[in-house]
Amino acid sequence: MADLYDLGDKPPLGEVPKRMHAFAVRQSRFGRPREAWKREVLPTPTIGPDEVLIYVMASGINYNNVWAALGQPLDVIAERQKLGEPEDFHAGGSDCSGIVWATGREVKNVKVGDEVIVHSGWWRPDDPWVLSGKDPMLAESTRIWGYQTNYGSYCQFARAQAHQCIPKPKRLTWEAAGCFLLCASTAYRMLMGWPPHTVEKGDVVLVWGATGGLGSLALEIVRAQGGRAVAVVSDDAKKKFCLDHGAVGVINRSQFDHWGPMPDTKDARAYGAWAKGARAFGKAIWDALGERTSPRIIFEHPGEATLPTSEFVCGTGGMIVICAGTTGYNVTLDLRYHWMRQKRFQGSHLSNDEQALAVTRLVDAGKVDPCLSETYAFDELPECHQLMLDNRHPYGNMAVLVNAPKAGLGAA
Amino acid sequence: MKALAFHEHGGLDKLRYQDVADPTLGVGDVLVRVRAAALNHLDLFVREGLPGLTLPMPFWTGCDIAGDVVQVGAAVSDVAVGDRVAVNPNLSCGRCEFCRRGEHSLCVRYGILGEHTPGGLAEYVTVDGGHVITLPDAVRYEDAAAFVLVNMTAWRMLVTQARLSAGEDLLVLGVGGGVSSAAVQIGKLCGARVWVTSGSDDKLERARALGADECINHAREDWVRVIGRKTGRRGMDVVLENVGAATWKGSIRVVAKGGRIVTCGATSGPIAETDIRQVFWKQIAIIGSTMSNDAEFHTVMGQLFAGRLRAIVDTVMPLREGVEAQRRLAEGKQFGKIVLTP
Repeated sequence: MADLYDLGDKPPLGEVPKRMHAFAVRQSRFGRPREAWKREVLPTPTIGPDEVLIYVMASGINYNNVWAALGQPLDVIAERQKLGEPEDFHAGGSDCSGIVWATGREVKNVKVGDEVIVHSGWWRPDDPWVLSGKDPMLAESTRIWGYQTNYGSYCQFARAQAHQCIPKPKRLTWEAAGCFLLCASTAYRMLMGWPPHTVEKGDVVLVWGATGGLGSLALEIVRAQGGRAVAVVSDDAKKKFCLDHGAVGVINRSQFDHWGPMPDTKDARAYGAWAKGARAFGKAIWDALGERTSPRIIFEHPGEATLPTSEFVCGTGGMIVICAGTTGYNVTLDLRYHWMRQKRFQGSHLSNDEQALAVTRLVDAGKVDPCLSETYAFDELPECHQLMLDNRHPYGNMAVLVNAPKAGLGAA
Repeated sequence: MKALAFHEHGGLDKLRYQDVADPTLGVGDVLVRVRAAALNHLDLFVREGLPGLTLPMPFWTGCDIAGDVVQVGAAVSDVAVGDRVAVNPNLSCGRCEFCRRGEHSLCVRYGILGEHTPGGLAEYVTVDGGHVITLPDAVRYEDAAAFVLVNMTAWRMLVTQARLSAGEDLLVLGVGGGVSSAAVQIGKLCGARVWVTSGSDDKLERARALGADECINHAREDWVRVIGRKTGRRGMDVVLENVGAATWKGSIRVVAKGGRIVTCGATSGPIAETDIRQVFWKQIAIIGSTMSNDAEFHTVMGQLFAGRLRAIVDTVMPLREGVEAQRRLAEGKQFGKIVLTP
């Protein structure tokens, strides 16, 4: 067996070469993703008793590895070194499809040769919270795989915990199977993980940023659960995509200008102007639906720019659920809306095994589309992150081929 | 009849203990002779005037009521003259989508007896026949009146909204208030470890007597640090927040991963500066709550009747001294409820 194999060139099943191809970031290169991500040959990682090595066929692209390239808001290399990991590089990637190539001695749920996809919820197996049987996503040791952990899906051989593996939906190509799970599982936990506010038949759900990876999966999941999604976009050209992926109506938010922090309620003029904008936006939701029903669930991720409006338009007894703050983190909540209309503001982060499996089943059954946008060659990986940073990426989820020799393979 | 009425909104000087017209009785109503009515901050807010609330004058408040049924409307079959009762102060339409779901405090036309219609600071009050609950002989009128509003509110907050469960840590901020002291008892009943803060050692001692496990005087100690240290930085599963602006950042910091902050008011102001990274990284919930539905009202009254929760009465005063009683409440001198008896 050789020391190093070309991409797509398979070693004998179960045999692991000493070195591998990977894209990595180093601290000396922190900055624009186009320059920060470089292809390197790295030592293939060894695995622990509960871990597996995946021969990666295709990888998804996520915004967290734009942050990793920038070195902000977190220097993930320094963070890991503080915890005793010696590597001076970050070989990331949080979404993949591939083949199990090696398993640790305690692994029981998968075996060498299994075709799998990997979800990005990682936690220490000896974390007392996890051992107590509670939701591991609330454990102190929880990390985002391929962002806060090393040897992710931008490696020829990725290292993951065995519990992260889910059988690959057979109907999907490698790239379609590898592109969606981080967004889909995050969206699924947001929409289905916080009872009693789970999407039920007929529920109105407002989805911000509906053409992104997260938003498009939210539209798909709401439709699959029988809900009615109203999509919010910034451009009329995005409307068709939203309707194609399950939205019952679309609002172009560039027609409003009240975004950002809510003014002081004592400043009657500024508050009045803001409230007028927020009310008009609420009416736009009703117009999009064709009835006067306010959202029971609001799917939030822009944060600072939109959250005050979300709080305002959320229906009585409804929930605003949030997983990110892409426009900023400082929000002024007016608690009066919360008491008087008994609203809930819920944070959510990634997903546990159960939720990742549940949404994969919806994809497997054809009820949720993985929203694959474009498939790129391995060497285009830095450019994919640059497109994301520049907000020029195509609608839905991007994929890069790793060991898959070309697009269109892997589907049964 | 006599009532503690006001003819215009304003301060304590607007209150008059005076004769007003007797209430009228609809076919679905019962007439209750008030034997005890407890005060809430709501009485002060309504007297001072609330935006959007237009009331017929003279008006009198009072939403925590216990008394005797003295007259029964023709359509009421399950309440009899002479019944000793407490009153469910919810006013809900019974027809909107929320009422049909049993969520009466979400009713689109929701109101509170004593806020939207004349209340119990009078000798008599008219109540919907479905909104009285019979008192066991052992339960005193004063205790029943003192119990209702704060316990129905705290019960919904902790049991329904925050889903407080055994073994969890509950923090109650500012334990002098009525909802907060009710929450200490409900927290213990749920099997939680109950933490309380107050600026008064006397109030902390009272809370300890109600079962509070950990008492922090926020005038002397940084409560956020104390909680961090004593919980190994994990924090609180549930925070009952009634203070608002002054404590909000601390509440966000001390709530544990997967924790819940539940709020029904804000004595220091409703504008809450929030770093949303804390919300999504820790996956916390911030939940607003108001009063309770009718089922929660009956459940929590059942806890009083069974002796599992008790009323906390600060003082009992005659209704004619209502001005003094409202002053005592406004100055925050009480621990527990101030009860007026006509």
